[in-house]
Amino acid sequence: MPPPSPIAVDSLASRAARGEPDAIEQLIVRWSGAIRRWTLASLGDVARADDAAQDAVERLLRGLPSYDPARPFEPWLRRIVRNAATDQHRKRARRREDGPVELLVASDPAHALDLADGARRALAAFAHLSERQREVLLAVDHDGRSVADTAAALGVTAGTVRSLLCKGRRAVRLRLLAHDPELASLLEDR
Amino acid sequence: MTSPTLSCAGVRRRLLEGDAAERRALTPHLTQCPDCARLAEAVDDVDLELHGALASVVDRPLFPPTPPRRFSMSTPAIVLAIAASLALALTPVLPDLGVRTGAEVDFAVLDGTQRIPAQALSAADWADRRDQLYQLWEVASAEAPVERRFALAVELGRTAALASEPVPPFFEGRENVFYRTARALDDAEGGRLVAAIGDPALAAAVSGRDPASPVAVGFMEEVDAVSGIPWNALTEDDWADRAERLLEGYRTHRDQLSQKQLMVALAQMGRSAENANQGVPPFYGPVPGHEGGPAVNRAWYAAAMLEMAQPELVEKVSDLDVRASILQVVRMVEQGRLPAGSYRDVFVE
Repeated sequence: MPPPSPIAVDSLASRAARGEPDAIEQLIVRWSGAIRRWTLASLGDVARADDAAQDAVERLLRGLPSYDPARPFEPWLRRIVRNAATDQHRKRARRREDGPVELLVASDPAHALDLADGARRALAAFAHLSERQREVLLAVDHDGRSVADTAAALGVTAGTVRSLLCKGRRAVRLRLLAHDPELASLLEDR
Repeated sequence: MTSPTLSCAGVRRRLLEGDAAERRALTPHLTQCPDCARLAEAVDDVDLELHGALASVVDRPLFPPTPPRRFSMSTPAIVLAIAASLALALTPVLPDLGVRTGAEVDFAVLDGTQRIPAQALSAADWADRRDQLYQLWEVASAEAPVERRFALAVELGRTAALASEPVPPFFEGRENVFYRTARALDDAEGGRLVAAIGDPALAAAVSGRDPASPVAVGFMEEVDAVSGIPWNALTEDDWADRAERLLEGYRTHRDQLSQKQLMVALAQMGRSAENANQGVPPFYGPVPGHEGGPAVNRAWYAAAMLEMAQPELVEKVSDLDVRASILQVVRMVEQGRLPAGSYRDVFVE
């Protein structure tokens, strides 16, 4: 689902910045999906993306009083989410817990999702993409945003987005198809 | 097998890289080629699997639905706030018990107030907090360490802003007096106090900096562009031009830049001056307050002062050689070969 319209969101954010409790709740509900997508794109694995998303919401609540309604809300929120994701990266580096992403997706009981094996494999394959590939796949293939919109949001050209899409789809599909030996041989034949 | 226009290899490549529209365009080939059709079906299946998995992750609400609340203060914050209020109320009797001094109890109120999220109190409640902190400022701040005075000034500025009453002595016109006071304390400490504020929004409010402003962003784009130029891609004169341009931008925008941006800009300015290989002012010379001392790369000296005020800030510099050069200056200061100072005193016009 694409993010809400900028005008409606910025008005809601203005009310939230003034401390209206209903507006704060609505704002979080309406941006939950986007915050989760951004953290997942940035970090790749579900568990850390969850932590970063919750952290981002807490930072959003702390930062709302300083939000300037004259400015668009989405870039402001993106910065908050990026900072939260960056801190997660740092925590990971400090703990030196680099391990196979499949384990991180599948094993953390605190973030357990009721996912079938196929879905877990899909998320693990997705985690292996580069951050930019994850961003464009989530924006275009999952959310249905246009290539032009995605390019504008990421500050890159439409050609770059198309290239990232092709490489990302190819990488994730190849990884998932490799589980089937017959398909793998078909792909080797090409 | 091939369609009139595409080989199986071409079809399979497009199946792996394309979207649904591309898939439809391949239908004529797929109706004739069982192997490619099987692959297309498998691609559809994994796409569906991935889409479902992503939806199950990103479509979850971040908070369980709850009815609107008057307060969204977390439980620990509520406990601290109540404890702080009780401490304040009990201040007249506690000193007689010999448990804590009055000033210590009052600073406990400061600590409690710092933990209260902005949206947790009404403007009137924030005004009460502000007034309590102001009493503390008048009674106890003069003898407190600079870190405490700074924290108190910041919190007075924050509570005054949240109270939404731009009245003296908290405001002069539209200017927040205690943020200004905090800024002055930070200036005297070389920027280390603001740098230690964990909340970026609060740090920006106190410092008056706006790292996301278009001018700051534009300048940092120029800095980033310079960082991507290999040392041997420009002549020494061209590097000197780059250094001059960065210095001009730095002087214009430094009051808007975050500590991180300042570090990166100074690092690249120093690198440009180094590559220019001219060794003359304003980029080289003794540092402020050490006029007879050795000539150093002043941009890297300023960066070293930032690093000393906020350790590990230099890690924002991606060029490892430049990072090492800045740390070398830090060591020279630590060894007493160069004086410690503030980055603000370097490149003063």
